[in-house]
Amino acid sequence: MKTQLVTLAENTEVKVTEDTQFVLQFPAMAGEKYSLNVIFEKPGVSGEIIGIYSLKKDQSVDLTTISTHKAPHTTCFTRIKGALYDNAKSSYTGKIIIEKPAQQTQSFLEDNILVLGNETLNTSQPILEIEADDVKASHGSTTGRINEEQVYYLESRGLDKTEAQTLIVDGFFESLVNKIEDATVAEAIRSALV
Amino acid sequence: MGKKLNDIHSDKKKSTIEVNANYENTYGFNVKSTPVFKAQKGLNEDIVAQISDMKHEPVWMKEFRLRAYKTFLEKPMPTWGGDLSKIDFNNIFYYLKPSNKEEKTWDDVPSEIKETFDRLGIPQAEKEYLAGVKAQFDSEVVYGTLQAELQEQGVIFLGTDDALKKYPHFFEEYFGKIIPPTDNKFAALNSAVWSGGSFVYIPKGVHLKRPLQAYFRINAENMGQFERTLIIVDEGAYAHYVEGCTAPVYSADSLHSAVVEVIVKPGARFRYTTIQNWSNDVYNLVTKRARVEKDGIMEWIDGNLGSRLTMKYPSCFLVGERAHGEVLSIAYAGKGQHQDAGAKMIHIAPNTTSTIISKSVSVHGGRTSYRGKVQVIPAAKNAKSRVECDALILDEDSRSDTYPTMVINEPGANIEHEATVSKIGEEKLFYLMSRGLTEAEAMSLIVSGFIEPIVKELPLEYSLELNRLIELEMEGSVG
Repeated sequence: MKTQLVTLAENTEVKVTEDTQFVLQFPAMAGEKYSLNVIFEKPGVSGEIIGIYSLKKDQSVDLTTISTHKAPHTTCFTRIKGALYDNAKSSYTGKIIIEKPAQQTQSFLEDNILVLGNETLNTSQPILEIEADDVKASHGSTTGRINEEQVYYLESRGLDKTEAQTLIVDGFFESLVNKIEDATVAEAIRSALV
Repeated sequence: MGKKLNDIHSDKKKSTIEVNANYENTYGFNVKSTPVFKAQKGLNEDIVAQISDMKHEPVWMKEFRLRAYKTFLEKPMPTWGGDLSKIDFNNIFYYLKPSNKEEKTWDDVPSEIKETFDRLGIPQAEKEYLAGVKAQFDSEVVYGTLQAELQEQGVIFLGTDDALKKYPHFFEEYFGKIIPPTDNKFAALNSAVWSGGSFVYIPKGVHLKRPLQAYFRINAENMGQFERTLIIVDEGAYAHYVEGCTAPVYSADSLHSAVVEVIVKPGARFRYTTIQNWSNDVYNLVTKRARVEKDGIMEWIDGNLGSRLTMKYPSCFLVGERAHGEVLSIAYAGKGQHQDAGAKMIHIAPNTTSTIISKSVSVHGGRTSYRGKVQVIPAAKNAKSRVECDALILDEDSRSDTYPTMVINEPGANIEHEATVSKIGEEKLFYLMSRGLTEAEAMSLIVSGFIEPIVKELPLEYSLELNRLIELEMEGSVG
């Protein structure tokens, strides 16, 4: 599968012509509205949307991803991970649209938000609009605070609190970063997260 | 391979029967009723005042109605959800009165009303077994029995109009406080013209063993029903309230817009079960909300069948520490139907928890939508919420949507949401058929299994009815 870095803008639209991973790149984190519509018009193609962001103190983002299935036998995985530090605001809308002709489509969405700071605000809206019957579609969304037991365990092994948190957050992101097939793009995402 | 299986699937679809297809034979009767008073169609300030006068209500209630009517006019129609453009507010009777007073004994109940109940299949013995039966015929409760047992425990179970006369202090304190008329256009409409519904008060520490039951009926052409239900479950008390509806078939559109307010006091537990099977021309636009105090538990079990359009999102405001809210929802949308149902959980206090489980089935061009909201405000430390929505689409003409919103303003909250949409697995069908079941039986079994987690929470007679409806639908899908 080919990897394509997508620099987000207010209304980004891409058409999937061959199996592609779309990795999101956020130009800024100051409350901008970003939207990406991935359109499947060619039967049989697969796509993946990978979005990873870390919102440091006072940063915010408003992201929408749409996977629009117009043709049969198309597949899409949308995977979003975000970490929120003090006063960070994240808003994510993840839409799966399967139109009537897009039978035998599979489309899944997962959105996980890890909360580390205080006074954070997270809004998640995973939406499904399904008009075809022979499909598989699902979404899962979680918002949760960093696991204090995991932090405690690492602390008991000699790490200080910040180191322990960093290690956990790295692990949280890495499980998705390592799905990026192009090593250069993966490295670019890793360095953007630090 | 996949395509071939799909062909089998669409063949089967053509022959399945609508749940309410033989509604007309089963429940499709229209006993002529002779209302003592029949208000004119349409609505204006005079009619609102007239309704209040006729019920000899206190001045504050009349003023409340008039204020609500103004709010109704000011509020815009919701632009989300289903198609509301066909509702003609001027073509509706806002108040009907079938007989002059509430009947005391079964013998006093008019025979044509009894006949309606017979057709509905409510057995005579059942009313003796059930804690109390309230039957709503047209706009007012005409029949109500309360077992001595309930009275001894100090439980109040009355028609709302009657309760307003006997226990005005409850109304002054709670009425319109959980759902103010300004909440939405239909809550405002209900507040202006409400009639009937139930009032329930469960005193401190009282545990009711048997559910309280209410039967609702619509039986006048173009009759809008605007029940108003107020339920107060005092500290440490437990009760289960059940309402079920079957409405006769009418050609003209009918509007049902109820408001249900529930107060769950500290340590109390309350369950509200609804199975609604409106005829296919009914707009069912209902506002249901519970305020749950410290250590309280509120459970909404909501089954939506029938109707042209249902928009209903039972909610829990978890205002006390460790309060728990739960919604179990089933929606079934057949031909021409749109079920826009869901739930709302608002976490306001620390350590509050909530669960939403929604199952929907759409067939023959029906559309089901789950619409829900989970909100956690900053003070609600350690709030936990889990939402699970599963949808089955039985043919290619049908549609299913999921519109959940999660607004989490508390960093210590733990929120999970999951939704799936799928069709009946061909391999499951094939397996069951290889064991000798017909295709219809296999489908019916799979659908029953799909909604089982919710059906098992229903009182026996309701789960039987629901399973029977599903069998009916699958019947004749052979060949």
